[in-house]
Amino acid sequence: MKKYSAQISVALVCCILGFMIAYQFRILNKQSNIQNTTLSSTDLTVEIEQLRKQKDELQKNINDLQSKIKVYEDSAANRTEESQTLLKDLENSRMLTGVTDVQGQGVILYLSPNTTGLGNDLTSDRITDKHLVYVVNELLAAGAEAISINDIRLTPRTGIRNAGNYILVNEERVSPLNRITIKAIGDKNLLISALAFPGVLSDFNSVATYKYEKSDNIIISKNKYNKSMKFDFAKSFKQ
Amino acid sequence: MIAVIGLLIGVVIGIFWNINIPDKFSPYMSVAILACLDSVFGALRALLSKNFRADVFISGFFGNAVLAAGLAYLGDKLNVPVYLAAVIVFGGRIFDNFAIIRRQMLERAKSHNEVVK
Repeated sequence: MKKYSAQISVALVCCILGFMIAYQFRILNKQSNIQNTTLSSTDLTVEIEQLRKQKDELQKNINDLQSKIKVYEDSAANRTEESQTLLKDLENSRMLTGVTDVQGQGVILYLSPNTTGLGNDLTSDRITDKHLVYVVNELLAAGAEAISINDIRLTPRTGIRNAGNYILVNEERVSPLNRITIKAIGDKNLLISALAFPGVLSDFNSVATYKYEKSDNIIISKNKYNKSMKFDFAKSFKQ
Repeated sequence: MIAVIGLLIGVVIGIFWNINIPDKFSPYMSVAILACLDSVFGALRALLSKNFRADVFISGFFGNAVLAAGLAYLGDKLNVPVYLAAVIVFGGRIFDNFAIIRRQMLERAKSHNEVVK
């Protein structure tokens, strides 16, 4: 009997040991698999550099083509009245989609992040995508016609979201640790009253100091981000 | 024999049962495994020298594992690599135990041969 129970106990303990070893092996395998899939940082830097170069070249191409279009448009517009109104329409929709520079009265809002002397590592104390979305929403509700964040023009298709240590706006990076400038063109009195309304900017008290001012001449440059504004899925529909 | 069967069952469970122990426990697990291995080798030695006691074995197995994992954890918190102590002690003991097991096995094989002759 004693021998029997001893053998059972040995079996049980070996079972636990086997389980632990197998589990540990599985974990370590998983970890090494993860390591294999990530490229080394030097490879990534080279790739980024190449892509950046490519992007610059393509940007140059785009600029050339756009100036060509401009020439064609001008020559077409000179012909008839009709084409002139067409051009006006075109200009209007371009302003809407943010492919032309716009200028007008409005407000400028500066957000300076609070930094402690020890460096601010807590992500909870940072300006986040939600803060920016909130401000943009307030400005739009107050009738802003064009908005830019750090000179990145917002379009109807702009997304604002956190990505690592940055906030991506139109897939350009905005650092939450530097001063963020938000410009909005619209009725400057309406916009300023929207920002000055009690409680509107209270969310920023813990993360940043803010300052806003009216201006009669704000220039919001065109969208540098040339994602084509075509519709792949949405089609116009008449009932 | 029964120990090998138990071990196999454990391995099968470990591979196919999708239990999740948090990754941060992984280093402590390794130290605990070493402690368990030490206990098992100790048990084998005791079995061969016929002074095996189940209670000693079980308490040693769990006690060593918990102590080793606990020490490793404490070492992490204190920023002292205490797990090295566990690795050295248990590693040394595993080799010691194995040496004794080997000797006894050889002894046994020899005496067996003599009896056959």
